[in-house]
Amino acid sequence: MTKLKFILPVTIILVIALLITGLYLPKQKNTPVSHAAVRVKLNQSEGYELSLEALSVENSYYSDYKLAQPFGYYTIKIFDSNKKEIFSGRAEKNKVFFPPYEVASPRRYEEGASPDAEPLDEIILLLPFFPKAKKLVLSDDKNQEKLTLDLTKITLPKNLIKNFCGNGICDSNENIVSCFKDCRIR
Amino acid sequence: MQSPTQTVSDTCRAGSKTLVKGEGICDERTNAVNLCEGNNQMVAKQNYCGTGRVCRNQTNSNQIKCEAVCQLRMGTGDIQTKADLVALAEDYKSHDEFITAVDKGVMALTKTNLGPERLGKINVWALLDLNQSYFQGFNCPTPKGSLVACWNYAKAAQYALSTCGGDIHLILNNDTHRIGSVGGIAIWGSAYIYNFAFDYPTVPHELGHAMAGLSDEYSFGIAALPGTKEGINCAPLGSSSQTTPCPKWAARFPNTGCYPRCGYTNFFRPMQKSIMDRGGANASYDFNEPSLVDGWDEVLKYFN
Repeated sequence: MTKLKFILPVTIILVIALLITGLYLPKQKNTPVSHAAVRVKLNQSEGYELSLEALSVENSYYSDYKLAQPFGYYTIKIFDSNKKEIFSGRAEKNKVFFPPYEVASPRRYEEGASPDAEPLDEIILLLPFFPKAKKLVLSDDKNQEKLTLDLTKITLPKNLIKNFCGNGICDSNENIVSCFKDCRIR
Repeated sequence: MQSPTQTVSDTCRAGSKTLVKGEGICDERTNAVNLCEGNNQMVAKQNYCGTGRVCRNQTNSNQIKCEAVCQLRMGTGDIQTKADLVALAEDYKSHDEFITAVDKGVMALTKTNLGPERLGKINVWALLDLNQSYFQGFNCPTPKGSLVACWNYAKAAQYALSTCGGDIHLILNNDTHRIGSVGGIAIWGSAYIYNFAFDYPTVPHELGHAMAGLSDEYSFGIAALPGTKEGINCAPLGSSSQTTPCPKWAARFPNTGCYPRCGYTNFFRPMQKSIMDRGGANASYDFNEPSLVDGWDEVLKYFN
């Protein structure tokens, strides 16, 4: 009985400590800021050369860039100051056209049917903002680096709106208690 | 309606309506509310519902309803783990009209053989903003020809992503920029769909292009030039009979066939009927096996 009195509180404390260190802290370390996105505007030449036009942080959602890209892509990687990869995704590099879908008989296509591709002349990325991010690297599908950007100089805007409760999306800084409207189970 | 206990100081006249203080009329196109403040004073309130919310009129009441700008129409709403597909409105007069169109698109998706596992990886959102325009014109030049209609892809992509976290988007046009019997047009990552075509498999067909990268299987009426890529769901070489799989699929998809014509007349398709074939009243809602596995499964493999 005496043993149980000792073991029970110690076990509870250990479980809480494990939960905090195992779940909460690692998330804090590499969690992107909710509702902030790094906006990268790139120009792309016909020969697939990239150049930066603008780099900023804005109040916005970002993509996880997890969709596979069957028509050519750039690999996006974000690294922290310890050169550790904290984000990875793929962004399309081509604009690919398909013929129209006709609900009556389809017409005859004399030239240039499907699919017809050209390099995107402008690529705009909305990436997660990690406070500890150091650089962003874009590589082509042969893993050749095409562009590296320094992310240390970009900062969060002072007027960043953090409360988006009610917009329909359960954000990473919201939960069922803090924003039932968005985070209720659907 | 003014009740016997309400005085003139509590009400406002707005056309044929009598509004009580606190009630209002929402202009769903501009998201502005004309609010009754009593004494017949209607005051215009921009962004009345606040950030991330829009105003909506109600059928049986003059109370303004505030709703989320991103309305989930399919899925769990978890934007961290799902592929987010955002529907954008063009030229719809009310949110109800637009949401009805989105729901028809969702219904068409569930009618396909994508099944709960694949559809379970996708959220479909309706972005409630009736004040945007994306259409740019007809017959826009492309590298090898022209596209019957084009739209501002960059604007749509950014708006869908920044507002509702959309990885991919559909623009629903309320038939204001129709061209012949074209029900929808796609580029990779984006589709433009006309309202009249929601009763056909237009949405899943266009998503087959925009999201899964599939090719058309109906006849273009011409043969492919040497070097043309056949795409995921077409094969460049035929087999001994239509019921024998094309060499491309023989090992992995032994239950397929090899039917002449897959877009180009000299390519082959794996099944006689498919959603990527011609549209219209008798169109199939089913994707063939290579389209499901090498198209949809491949594109959704990083989502849960």
